[in-house]
Amino acid sequence: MSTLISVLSVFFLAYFLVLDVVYASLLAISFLESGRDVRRVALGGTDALMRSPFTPPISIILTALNEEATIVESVDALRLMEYREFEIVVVDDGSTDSTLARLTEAYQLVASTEPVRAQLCCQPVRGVFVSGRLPNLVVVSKDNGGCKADASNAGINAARFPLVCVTDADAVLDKDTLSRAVRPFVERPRETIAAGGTIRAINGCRVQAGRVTRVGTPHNPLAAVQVVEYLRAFSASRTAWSSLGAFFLVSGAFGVFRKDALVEVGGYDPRAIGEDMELTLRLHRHFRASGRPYRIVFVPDPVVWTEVPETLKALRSQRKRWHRGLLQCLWWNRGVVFRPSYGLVGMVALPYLWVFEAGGAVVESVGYVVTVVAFVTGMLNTSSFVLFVLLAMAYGVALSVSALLIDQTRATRSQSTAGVAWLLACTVLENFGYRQMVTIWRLMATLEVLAGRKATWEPLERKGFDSG
Amino acid sequence: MDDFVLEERPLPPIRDRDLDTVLDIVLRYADTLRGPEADRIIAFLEEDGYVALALHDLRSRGQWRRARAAERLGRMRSPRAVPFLISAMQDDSADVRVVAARALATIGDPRAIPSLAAALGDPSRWTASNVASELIALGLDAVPTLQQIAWSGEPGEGGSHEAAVTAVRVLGDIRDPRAAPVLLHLLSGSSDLNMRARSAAALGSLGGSQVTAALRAALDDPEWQVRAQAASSLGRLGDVASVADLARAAEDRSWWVQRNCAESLAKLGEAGQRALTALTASPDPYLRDRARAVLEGLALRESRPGADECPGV
Repeated sequence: MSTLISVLSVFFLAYFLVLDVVYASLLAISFLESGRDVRRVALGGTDALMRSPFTPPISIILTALNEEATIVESVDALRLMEYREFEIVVVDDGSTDSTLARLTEAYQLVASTEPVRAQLCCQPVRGVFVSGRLPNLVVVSKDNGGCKADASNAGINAARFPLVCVTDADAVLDKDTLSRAVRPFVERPRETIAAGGTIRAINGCRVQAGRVTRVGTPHNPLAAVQVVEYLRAFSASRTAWSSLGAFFLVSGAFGVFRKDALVEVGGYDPRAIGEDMELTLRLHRHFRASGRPYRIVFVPDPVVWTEVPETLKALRSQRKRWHRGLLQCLWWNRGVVFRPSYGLVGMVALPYLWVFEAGGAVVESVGYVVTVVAFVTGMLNTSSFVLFVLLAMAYGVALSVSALLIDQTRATRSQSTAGVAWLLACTVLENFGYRQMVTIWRLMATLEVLAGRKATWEPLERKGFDSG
Repeated sequence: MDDFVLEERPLPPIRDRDLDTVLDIVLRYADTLRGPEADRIIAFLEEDGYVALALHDLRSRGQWRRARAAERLGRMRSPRAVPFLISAMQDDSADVRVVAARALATIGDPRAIPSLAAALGDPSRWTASNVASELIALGLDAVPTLQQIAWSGEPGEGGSHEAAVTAVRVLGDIRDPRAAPVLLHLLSGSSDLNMRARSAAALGSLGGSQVTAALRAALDDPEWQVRAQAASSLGRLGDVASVADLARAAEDRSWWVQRNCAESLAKLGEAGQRALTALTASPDPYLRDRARAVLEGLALRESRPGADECPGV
């Protein structure tokens, strides 16, 4: 028993050491990249992009399922985006509420015989509607496909521009989000096939007319901790993966794609639980296999705001779903791992996801059990254990604070000192309970997958925005 | 009221670390001015050594320092900076090149046009697209140089193909009839598909009987991309004499050509609409639905003259 615990202790130590080195490396790359990007943005050029006939037009695809409360506000916000040329394609995914009726009333929709070329598979389209008020609005009404992937495919079919931006009806885009996200497509039009942006929690922010007018921090500790989590994920991780050419997740809440690339790979897969990561990895596989130069990039500037869960039930459901999606993607792409022909995606990103993202939940959970067993049997070296925990926590806090720092240097809108202080407090608070809770949910999701239980999707309960 | 009279006191000396901020404020103010007031500020910046300082920074080792210097020189609108900014167009850093291009365009000195036009072939398409916008803003002065660049892209001419294709696009956007002969020659004679398609699109901004005849001929080009652009251009030019050709081309095997033909017919008055109505009986389901959708769109626009203005229309 004693030998087993010793061996496990060495394993845990080595595991966390390697993980810390990986995180530190990602953070260092993010710092460098972020600094470079801030300087580049300060030099301007967005105005030229707005004037330039070379700026590609974009079709914004908004998928909506029972969004009667917010759909008109969402479309209104989109139509005021600052971009040279775009259309809005709303896909009503068989809503059972009055989503379509609200749109019809607000935008004077009329049925159209507009032919939609079915380049991607999706459930049957019931009708296409054009607006008497907004010439660049198209509404596609279709049978419910049971997932966002199916609705997004219908939207891509209806899109008439070479770039498509896929977003959610409940996501709030900054007015310059498109002009910032399109830059990689202008810089390297032949190679850039997809770009993702930063997703931030909208909880605690003030929203007026579909725009975030004041950046705030949620009072709810559960939401505030997620704000820190999001900052860490986007500021300190995705920037680095993108710079390595191994960016593996263009978030479903906001992504810009070349339409021809999406059509070439067959669009979103309705079977996928995490359809966004599955698509990103499939794009990597497809273009790597075909030997063509390509880029999938993360652009930190375009900010998209989305609501994070404020109840344990909703959070648990979301995290279990995310983890099941991750495991499914990893399993589907298991043939790519350690294949040099897939570059850093196969050699670094996917092994990292297997070992630290998928395996992390198991290792951490086993660690908790071993600690308890060692404590009960009197084999726990208390001083070493306390030192290890303190070091691990300090490292985690340092990582989160660095991510917060990167975000603050980039921020175009200031946040209150009290808000920043609250977020700093959350970098510590998340270590007491929250982290362990999420680990257990991820472990539960892993066990459910191993037991062959099917995933169920419960839509996130929306609390709504503070529009006061 | 006397309490509000400002005392005439010398301004406190500006600390070195605040110089950048003060200069930025002055430049922002200068950006809003034109005429003698702007000239006075530019003269002040020249006399007080700020232009010389920026020119010095333009030779710095740090790329961000060079880029910042180029940006300031543009905002200072100093003619003395033009040769240096032209040199900066050859900088190793794409960030410096793009800022130098914008600076040259802001100064608006015709000496910069050849360098700007050559930069249309810049490996960074960000630079090229920025340069293209600036050349469009410079307008007619740029046309002769752009014509040369467009010619030089043909095989055996030794120029950059990328620059030539972009020059064709810019010529279309400047809308100078002097560009028509070059574009017509490229449309009918170029062996490059991209060049022919871009020429067809650019000619849609120029017009003239020779142009419409060439575009009608291009509806029979072997490549669908050229046929699609030609169809679109004929609609933009409002050439009613093209109705029969567009109606025939609408039966094309490429859906993109069909779509552009239908949309162009909608812009050609009653004759175009009659042709569209005839197409609603087409055995091709895509063409039939497309013709119906275009007619519905026309009816919708006529019934709602006060439709909201949006980008993308």
